[in-house]
Amino acid sequence: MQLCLLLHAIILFTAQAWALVEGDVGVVDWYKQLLGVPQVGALDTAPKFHTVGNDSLVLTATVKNVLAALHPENGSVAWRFVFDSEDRINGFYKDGEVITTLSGTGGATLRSFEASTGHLISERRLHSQAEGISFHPQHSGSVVTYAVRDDGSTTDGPRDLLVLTNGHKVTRFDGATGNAKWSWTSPDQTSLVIYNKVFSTSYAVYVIGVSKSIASYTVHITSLHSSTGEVLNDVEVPSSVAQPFHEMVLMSLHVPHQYRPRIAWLEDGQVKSKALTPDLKNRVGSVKDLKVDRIIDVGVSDHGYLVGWKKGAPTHILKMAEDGTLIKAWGQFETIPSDEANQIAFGGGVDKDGNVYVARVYWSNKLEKAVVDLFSTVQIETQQYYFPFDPSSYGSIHHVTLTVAPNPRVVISTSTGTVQSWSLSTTDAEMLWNREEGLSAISAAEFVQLPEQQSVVALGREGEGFIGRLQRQLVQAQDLPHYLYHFFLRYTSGSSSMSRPVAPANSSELSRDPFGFRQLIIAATDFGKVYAIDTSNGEIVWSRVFGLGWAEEKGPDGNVVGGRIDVDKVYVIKPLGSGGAKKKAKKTKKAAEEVTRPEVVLVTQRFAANTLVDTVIFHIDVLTGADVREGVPESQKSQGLLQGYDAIQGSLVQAFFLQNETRAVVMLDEFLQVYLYPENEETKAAFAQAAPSLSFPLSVTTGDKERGSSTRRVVGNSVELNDALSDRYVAYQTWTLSLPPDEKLQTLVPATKGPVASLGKVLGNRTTLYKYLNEKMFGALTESTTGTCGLYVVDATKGTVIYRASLPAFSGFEGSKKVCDVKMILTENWLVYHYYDDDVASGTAGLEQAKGWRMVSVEMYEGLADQKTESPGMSSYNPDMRNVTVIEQSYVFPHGISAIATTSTTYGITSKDIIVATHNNKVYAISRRLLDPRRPKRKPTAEEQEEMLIEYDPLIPDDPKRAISHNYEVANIQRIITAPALLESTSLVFAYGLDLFLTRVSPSGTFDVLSESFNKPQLVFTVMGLVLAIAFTRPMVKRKLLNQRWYQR
Amino acid sequence: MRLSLIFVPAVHALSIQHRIFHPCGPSFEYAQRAELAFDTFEPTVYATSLDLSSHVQRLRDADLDLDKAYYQVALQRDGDVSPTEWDVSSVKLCHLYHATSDTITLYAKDGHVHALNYFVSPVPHNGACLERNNSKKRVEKDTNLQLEKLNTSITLQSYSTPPLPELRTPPALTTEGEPVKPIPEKSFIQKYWIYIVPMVIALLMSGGPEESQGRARS
Repeated sequence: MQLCLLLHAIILFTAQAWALVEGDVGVVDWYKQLLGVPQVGALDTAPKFHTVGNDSLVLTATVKNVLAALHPENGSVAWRFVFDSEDRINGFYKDGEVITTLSGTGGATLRSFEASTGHLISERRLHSQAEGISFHPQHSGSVVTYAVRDDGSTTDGPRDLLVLTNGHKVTRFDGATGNAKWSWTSPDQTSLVIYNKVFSTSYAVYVIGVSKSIASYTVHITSLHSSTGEVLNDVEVPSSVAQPFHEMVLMSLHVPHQYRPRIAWLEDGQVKSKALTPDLKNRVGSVKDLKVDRIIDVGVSDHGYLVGWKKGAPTHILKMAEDGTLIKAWGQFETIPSDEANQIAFGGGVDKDGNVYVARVYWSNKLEKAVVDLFSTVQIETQQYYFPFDPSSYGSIHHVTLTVAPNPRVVISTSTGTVQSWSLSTTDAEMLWNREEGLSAISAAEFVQLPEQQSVVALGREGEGFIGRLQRQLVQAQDLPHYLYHFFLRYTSGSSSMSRPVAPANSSELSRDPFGFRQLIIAATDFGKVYAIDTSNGEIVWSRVFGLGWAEEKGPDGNVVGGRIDVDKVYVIKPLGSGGAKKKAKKTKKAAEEVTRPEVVLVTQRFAANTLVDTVIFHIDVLTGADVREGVPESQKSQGLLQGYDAIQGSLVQAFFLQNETRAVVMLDEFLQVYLYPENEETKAAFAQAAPSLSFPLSVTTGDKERGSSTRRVVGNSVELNDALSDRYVAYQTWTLSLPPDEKLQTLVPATKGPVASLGKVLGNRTTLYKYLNEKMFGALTESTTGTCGLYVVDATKGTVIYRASLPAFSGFEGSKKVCDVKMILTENWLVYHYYDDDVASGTAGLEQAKGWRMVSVEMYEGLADQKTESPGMSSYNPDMRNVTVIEQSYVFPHGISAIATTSTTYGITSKDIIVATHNNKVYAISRRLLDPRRPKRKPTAEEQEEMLIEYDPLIPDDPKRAISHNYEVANIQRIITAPALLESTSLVFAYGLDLFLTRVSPSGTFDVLSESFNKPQLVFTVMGLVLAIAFTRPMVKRKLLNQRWYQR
Repeated sequence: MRLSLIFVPAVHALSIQHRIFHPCGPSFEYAQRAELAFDTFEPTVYATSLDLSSHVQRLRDADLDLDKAYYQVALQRDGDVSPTEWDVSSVKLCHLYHATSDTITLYAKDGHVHALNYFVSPVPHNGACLERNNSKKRVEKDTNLQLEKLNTSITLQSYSTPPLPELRTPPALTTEGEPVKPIPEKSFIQKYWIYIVPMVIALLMSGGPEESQGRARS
């Protein structure tokens, strides 16, 4: 029995020690695996359908450098492979069960994958990155072609590979063993011939490239012997190609026992071509009576088809003749009037019988639907399909991938980073799936608290009479038994704990849960779209596409200028419970409504295609995504594109947030003039009041660029209103911090702001270490040419360098050059930074040291024990502000990190954990106790134990229990943001980069919530028992007291 | 404070410039305040070359708020072409009236000074300009700025490197490269048998009579 109790106690103890219990997975956290937006610029990286056995997949390479396979039925991820950022994918090439990729500069690495599972079969380094030649566009100069099998061959193993690298080297690799059979290098690499296409027949291999002539490019063809790699012939074709990477298409036809390749190119609007034969002696032919603007390879060029497009004219489908001698116009799509469609995409596919299909997809302004014109070689008439695409939610269609088996389907990529699949039918098209891949490129994100449900219900009760209230309450009373039943259940079952899902499944209304775990994340992406994500389940609540303002209107020439929106900052301008708004809420109904509806302001810059830059503000209602700018008609608030307000006619230098009751956004233009949003008397007055104490740093370039002496330095600014010159406040320089000549400013890192719960730390010996609290502190990171990186902590008002460290740079990818990869976080008086130290030679990592990642924890105090200067209220001009006592300690950290943050809680009482996203795709929470710079380097004394200090250990152990992302692969995290929940113990953590991950952490334990194991029924029964006992004994006691009085007399 | 104060031999000349600056006022030229030569550790001071009082008077004539004016100190390095490249530090002008000492902190790396910071002392805790009720006295004081009377000190701050993790001492290796095996510790009995054996014997020897006494009692 005792043994059983002991075991029970051990299990309980270990369960509490775990960071996350299995039951919490998927309840307290969620994870979205993303792939990135497909790279549609080149056919070798764009999405393609691929059939492996009976299964079909959609393969794509993405701008996030991921090779991915999707299930075409539901859009779920079959597999993905994340390439290193330095190892860019040049293209992927499919052949049955094998997918081959070529990546890195000039095609440095060749990999092959199993198509159905994504398992890496082989990886071969063809040359180092340093030896690679970079081209523009990046994918040119390197390609993989599968060698054709000899007709007599009976084996069905993997085919040989012909790999072109660096634009001048062709190697034939054995498909089975991976060994190089032969290699050919262009003899004259200085002739500027860049090869970019390879075609293989059973006898010869053709390598096609271009050489630069005065105004254009000339086509160059070399034929090699297929078995030996010997040069058979080498010709320069008299030609003139303007854009060789877009206007040259390699076509081929496979007729029984023979391949008929042909290279086609565009020359002065004419489609010219030349057959590829081993002697290369045939003439150049051209398609007669046809002028086009572009020729497009839609993925069926290996079946002898390509598309010739001309603006305002029918689109021709060009076909190679069966004998391979010429190319002729075969079919055509009708002209689309220019006012009916803006952007047209083409796609091609082949059915199982070898029939070729070509699709033209565009959004029709007239029909307000997406139109698919489908041309096929089996039908004379072009078929037309429609699907209800919404350009105001997904932008324009950039790319289309077509399949016709088993039924016509398209996968489209849009300008907002969305990937969709539509099943086409003549009656009703159906959206099969939709993936918001734009979320893999979030540029700014912020948490927003939701309003309380009560206050939403309370709205509309204004003016309610007695009868009305009675009626309402009678209706509500019907739910009383149900409420009481659930209250009892909740009370006795203990399910009000942390691990309960925060949003009931049937809850469609956005409102705050009791603990404040349900919030919204407003995330803006690089693809011009803003999303609201529910933190309880990761679902997208709403999304809006940014309008481009004047840049999307047609100019006098009928063309749209176009451009893009870059989001710099997201600010919540009316958060719930903000003091000023609450006071007014009591006064008017309108203000009460405002309190319940938080709003966000997105500060963005619009880069128009004609180089004009404007600063644009988008002002959105958080709950619905509606435009809440003043003067916007009701009909346009939630419909169509989200339009902004052009706040500054020019670029933005800095934006920040006035942290007082008005919560106005402050922006600075190129001339450092101050603009406010919203700009009204109230915000102006608030800014005027705050202006004397404002100071902020900027990174400014000084010196003479022409002399090459320009450098960036940190400049401190304050603002002043000079009535004589301008009606706006203008920033002026108060201090500068030049860097040493060999250092370059990398980035400025603002300190993480939050409530400070205590001004000092009471030690075991009852003395106090007073924190150095300077809310004007910020960090600056520098890199240098001499192999050191700099880290500065600077006072923004005075320019005082409070802490400064010189860190070693390390050799980057393949030892290319020294790089600085320092990550830092600064909060209260605590600085944590992380860097890599491989500088053994210079003694930074001394002989007794080893190379590795280091994490340094620095605490700043006003002085030693009981010494204080009252830094929180002290002016930066006071010399005592320089006097900082620094306590620091360094640790070995097992991983490189890509992002660092601290947890944040409502009152700052809970201790702060450091959250890091590591290079091994995990998110870790590191306890402050481990990073305490006062950890003693011997066994802790009783006083130190009282302070919960643990003995110093140089290694922060690689403890899987600390991985808050447990077994999720959270790849390429760029930033981590945290937000307090209503519970002081708990903080929400959102990590984004390629993937999205959200969880809740409680650094000091969930001290403000009853634990799961707390026995509520026992408490209830005990209390009830006591009440009963009192009720029973009370008359007895009374009687006894009365009797006693008789005897006392 | 961890930043160490080390004087390093400078191979370049430094010039300290100064002026009065008001964000809404006229732009005053810098004047040289000192020339620093570190080989002798003796700065050459030219504080009198700037007529601060007249500049203050000009600001007063322009009816500008003197509490918003700054006293700026700039660092002119070798090779700096224009004053826009100089490094600047400011203190509030109003703090200068009550100051008794000032400090110029030069930030250096590898013997090269790249930036400066300037402080005057004493300064009120909250940094506010002290109110001067008597306007006559105020005018006198405003125009009576005497930098020569300040006790100037110059300090040099250079980089620090972070501490390194204090790794445990690796185990000693033999000449063959194998870890030296520690001598196995003797067990308790092996160590103290010399005391235990006599005690056991003594106990055995003295055990007999007690038993017989017990028996006798029963």
